[in-house]
Amino acid sequence: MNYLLVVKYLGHFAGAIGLLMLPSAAWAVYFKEWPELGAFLGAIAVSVGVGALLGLAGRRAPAKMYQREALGLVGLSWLVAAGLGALPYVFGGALNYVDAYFECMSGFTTTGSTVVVDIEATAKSILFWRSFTHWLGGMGIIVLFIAVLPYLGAGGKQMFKSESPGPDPRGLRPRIKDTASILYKIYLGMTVAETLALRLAGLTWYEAMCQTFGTLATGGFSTSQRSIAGFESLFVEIIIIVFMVLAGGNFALYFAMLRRDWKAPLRDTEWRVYAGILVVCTLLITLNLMGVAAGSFPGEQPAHEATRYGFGNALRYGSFQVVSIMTTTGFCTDDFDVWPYFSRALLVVLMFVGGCAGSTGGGVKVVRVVMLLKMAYARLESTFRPKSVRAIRISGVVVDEGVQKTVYAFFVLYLLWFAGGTLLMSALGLPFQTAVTSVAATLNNIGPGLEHVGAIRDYHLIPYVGKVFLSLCMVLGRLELVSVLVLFVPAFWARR
Amino acid sequence: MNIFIAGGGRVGFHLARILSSENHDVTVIERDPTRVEHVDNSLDVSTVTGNASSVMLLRDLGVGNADLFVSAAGSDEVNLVAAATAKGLGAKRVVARVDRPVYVESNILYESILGLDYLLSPNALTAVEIAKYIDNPGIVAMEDFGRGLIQMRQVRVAKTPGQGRKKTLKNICPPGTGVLVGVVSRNGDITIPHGDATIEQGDLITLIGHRERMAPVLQRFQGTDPKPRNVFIMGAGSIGLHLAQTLENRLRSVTLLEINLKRCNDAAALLKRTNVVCQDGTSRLALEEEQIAKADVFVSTTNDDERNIMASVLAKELGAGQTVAVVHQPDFAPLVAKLGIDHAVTPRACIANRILTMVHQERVSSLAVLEEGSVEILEFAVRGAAPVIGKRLKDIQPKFPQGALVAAILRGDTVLVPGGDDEILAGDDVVVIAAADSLDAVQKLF
Repeated sequence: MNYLLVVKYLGHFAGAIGLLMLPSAAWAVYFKEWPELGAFLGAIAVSVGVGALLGLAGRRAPAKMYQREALGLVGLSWLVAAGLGALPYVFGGALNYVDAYFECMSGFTTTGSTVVVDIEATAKSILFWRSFTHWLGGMGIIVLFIAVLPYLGAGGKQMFKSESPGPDPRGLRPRIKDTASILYKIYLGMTVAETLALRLAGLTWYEAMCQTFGTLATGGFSTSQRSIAGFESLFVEIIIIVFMVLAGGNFALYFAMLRRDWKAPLRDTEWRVYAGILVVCTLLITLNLMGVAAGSFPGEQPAHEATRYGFGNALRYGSFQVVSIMTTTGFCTDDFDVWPYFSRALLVVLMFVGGCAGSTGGGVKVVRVVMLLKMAYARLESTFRPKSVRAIRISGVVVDEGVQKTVYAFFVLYLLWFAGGTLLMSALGLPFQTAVTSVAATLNNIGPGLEHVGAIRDYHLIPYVGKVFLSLCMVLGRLELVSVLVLFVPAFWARR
Repeated sequence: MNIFIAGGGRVGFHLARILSSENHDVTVIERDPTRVEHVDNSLDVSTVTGNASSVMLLRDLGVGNADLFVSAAGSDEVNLVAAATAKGLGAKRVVARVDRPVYVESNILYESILGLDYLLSPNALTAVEIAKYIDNPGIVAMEDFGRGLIQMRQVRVAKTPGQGRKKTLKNICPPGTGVLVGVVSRNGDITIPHGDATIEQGDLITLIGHRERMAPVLQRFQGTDPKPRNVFIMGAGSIGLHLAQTLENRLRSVTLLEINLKRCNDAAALLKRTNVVCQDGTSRLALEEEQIAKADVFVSTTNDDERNIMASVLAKELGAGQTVAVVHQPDFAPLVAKLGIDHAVTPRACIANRILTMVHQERVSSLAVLEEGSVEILEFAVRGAAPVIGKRLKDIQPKFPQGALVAAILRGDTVLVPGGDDEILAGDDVVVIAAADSLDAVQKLF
């Protein structure tokens, strides 16, 4: 491990995080929130200072970056980003450090779980920073770094691969810097489009930007206490549904469409399955909310009686929640904690499916789910037809053995972490549903879970150990385990 | 530039590395997944696993929009088909690497029939390179610029001029000499030196300057080497045969050592004036028997690097004048000087240098590639509205990229080795030394 190099780039990175706080500071000036302005300036000073110190310490680093440094750098960068990004909350007096770290990690990883009890009482510039961390983390802070700083070379490609979601991230252009800047241009274009749309739907510029950040990053932080429900506008909901669906899809397809290959999504297995799941689950939940299969166990209180909807409302709330949970955004327009059991169970299943590879969404990713099902079916078939040989295909391309094994390994580790996490949260005294869904909602970068961490509640009552652990779950989920887990393997740090 | 390279082996990898470090868009097509992974992990290029001679694959990749398509896979036939296909799809320039003598000998016919721009053989280029060295012993690389008035010579320093503190460049080549030391390579570290830098024995230095002033300056660094008359070549592979063919009519005697009898027979049939001897070039007895001590140059050209290097060391030990080794694995090349071998030639670097020349052809009138592509020397014709016109060199200094240097200016028939007060005028030809990563910026200025 080339420590000096890692230190040097972490330094640059820390400085960059500091500078990225400037827009929030500008909002503090705009809203005349002087204590918050001080908090931002303090946080910028600390970040840039830390960055300069690290950069100075690593200035003699040898330039060559190998796979190991690249991998370590990605994991560490995210931990550092949340560490520094938490400072404005602390300096502004809004939260203590553990809470602030949780909140900031939740922001960068586009989770959207919050410990802020009264959102509308919080300073607007702080809320802007909270949403802006979503936007940065959505496409990836490292990807932004690569797009702006050209000197990473092949090491940059390694870092891109570790940060981009999906089993086999590929570049869109031969040079990784070009890939990164194309992704950011598409992302920026969508950001402008949604902000304008929301502004036209009646939100203020400030609100429009914050909701846009939350949508396109599939994050889920809102500026309203009741999330999107607080705007009470069907138009706003429809705009946000459309952009959530887009944000949960593979950005490489949008690049293909920009090059006039309009049918690219239709040829893509993952996109078709993704769209199919959204439609089918919306229908199922709509029916369920209208009263179909909404019975309760004998002797239990039928909790959902109050929420029996007509078709219009069932479709409106059902579709929003399905899209929000499946794309791992976590906005809500209704308290799904009081929905019938079937709807709630379906939402928890959708949490694990997540968005597409190459999207800003979290979860296992649709393409991996498709691969796992195909691989499992092939195994099953081989028990009664042992001599038949079959290739696993995604969008007509054969998935090679190596990728298949990686996907298996990923899924097993993911489930193990989920099971272990549930045990830990239960040991901290959380009721079963809360324990299960708190881990599921953070590991899959959703945000709200069920029961005590449900749609209209928050995470502030979870013990500190739990908050730290859930923060770890978020970054593990966002970076898809590997680049964080290696940080805990002693051999990874060996000097040799 | 949008560049496709078929084949991620030694040649393909090396080319991809240099071209990507010069900020070109490079895509490597390779059949072997492990090689693809290696390229993918080490270079900032995109990789595709697949067969480069497949027209469907090339079409889907958009090879039709390529500025340059290089097929450098292991098989000649695959390369020819791939290159012809790429040309047919609309690639601007295509180059195929070939090695078999049939293709190499009739390359011009094949080029015109298949519609390819260049057929290049690394082995033939290597032989040409070695022949050049034998013609000008001690000079590792040479190139002429500015209609032949400006010369570049790369030499290994045999003796250090000046004594004690006077060893700095300022004293050896003071301004006004008309020759400048442009690049110094010491144990693989490459620098573009300042006046206070020193030169040590064993350094590889590049001199640029006026044709008429070159010879006396060269002599200060070089021992006196008589023109070679007896040359020994080990290995009758394609490099050895090409070399013997080139040299046999120019020199007094050429001896070709080859261990395999069948290859000896073939070589004897092909070569009229060469002594073909069926002996092992790594055997002390055999070398002594053939009177190696009389050899002015010993060249080892087999496919086995270790044998080439050891045979050269042995030949030197037994009294051969100069030794040259063909080294396929470029990581070994810098070590060769340490073992007392005078010159190492790397086939993949030879072909890569030719291709780089093509890449720069549009903007640059002449070019030399040094040190595996990490430094290039380019000649620009300053015309029209180039941003540097009418500026003094010290004024463009801030904009001029680090790692680049204006080495010589040709104005009419006068050659200037410029100082900070000289300015660049429209109509000048300018020779610039540039590190690979500063090429882009330099090209924008001229």
